[in-house]
This record gives sequence, C-alpha cells and structure tokens, in this order.
Amino acid sequence: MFIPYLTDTLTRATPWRTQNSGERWAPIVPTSILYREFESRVFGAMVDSGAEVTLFQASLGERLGIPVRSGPSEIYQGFTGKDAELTYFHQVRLRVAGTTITTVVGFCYALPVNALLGRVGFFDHFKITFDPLRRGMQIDRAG
Amino acid sequence: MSGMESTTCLDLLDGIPPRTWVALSADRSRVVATGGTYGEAVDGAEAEGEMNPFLLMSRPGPGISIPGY
Repeated sequence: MFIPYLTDTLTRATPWRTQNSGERWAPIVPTSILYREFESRVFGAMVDSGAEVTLFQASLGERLGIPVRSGPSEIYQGFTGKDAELTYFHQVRLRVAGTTITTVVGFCYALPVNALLGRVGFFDHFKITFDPLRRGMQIDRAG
Repeated sequence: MSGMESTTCLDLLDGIPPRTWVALSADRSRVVATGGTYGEAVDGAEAEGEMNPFLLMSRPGPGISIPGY
C-alpha cells in the first residue's frame, strides 16, 4: 500500500532550507489500535526505524480501556535522556497500511510524540520502502 | 512538482503548543479540536460534529525533531 508523506513548507530560514526549498516531510501513517471490542480513532503514527520498539502515548491506551500500568514495564529513554519513564507493554491489534496485525507495543506517558512505529512491533511485520520521487512510502506485509 | 502525491497538513500544527493532541477534520484541512490527552481531543472533535477525526500531536518543540530512541 502506498502512503504519501505528510508535508508542508517552512517559511522561516533554516540551515537546510536551500537543500529542498524548505519542504518538511514526515513518514506518518494513518493507524488505529484495536483492543478487545474497541478501536481508537485514526491517528498519525511516525514510521521510525530508530525506535527500538513501537510506542504510543499512554493516554491513547487508557481511552481504549487498556489497563496501561498493569503491563510488564521497561524504562523508556528519550533522546535527551530527560524523558526516562516506565513504558508498559501490551498485546494489541494495529490496523495499518491496509491490514491488521497482532503485536506487542509499549505505552508511555512521557513519549513526546503520539506514536512511533518502531523496529519491534512494526518493522518486523512489514517491508517498507521510502520513495523520495513519489513523496511517500510503500508498505507491504512481510512474508 | 511532478509525481508529488503527498498530503499537506503539518502546517496546521504551527502555533499549537508543544505536545498537544490535535484533532483534524477527516479531510485534514482544518483543526477541529485540541487537548492535553488523546481523549480530550477526540471528545472535542465529537463536540464539533467531527466523528472521524485524524489525530496528531504537535511538535515537541522548535527546531529539528528527533523523536524516539
């Protein structure tokens, strides 16, 4: 399934503006979480191969009725080291890229973005191709 | 630009306080609600009559964004 990037164009000066006329693009995929009989609204989730695991804002899980703090936990370490906080893991279903997968993801109250589709929980289910010419991603189930 | 299929909506997040949940209209053309949590943004969108919002979160702060890790 081809998913276009979300984009805009910065009007302010930046050191990298001359590289691409200030266009910002983000590999954000429409995603929803299914837990028991409930499904979240569609939200944008960042495809991030730098994230070791797939992470969501804990408020999203709470709204779905997931007992977030009851799950096995591990420390989430933000890039600056200032966001170290427990992340709680739960098995959920993700509806993403035209399919539904069952996977284990983390929920973190300190996550500075709403969702990161990381290596464990997302990249291990999909073949992903970033296409700069079409300004988007081709995401297909692996195997 | 030839072949460009991308969707422009990131600029809708400009000016919204960092780490705020934002509910866009289903066609992603306008902000219908904001909130400190996912639930607040969803409730706000529903109050505005938008039952199929697209949820995003505003940037953590100014400058280059490096999420995760």
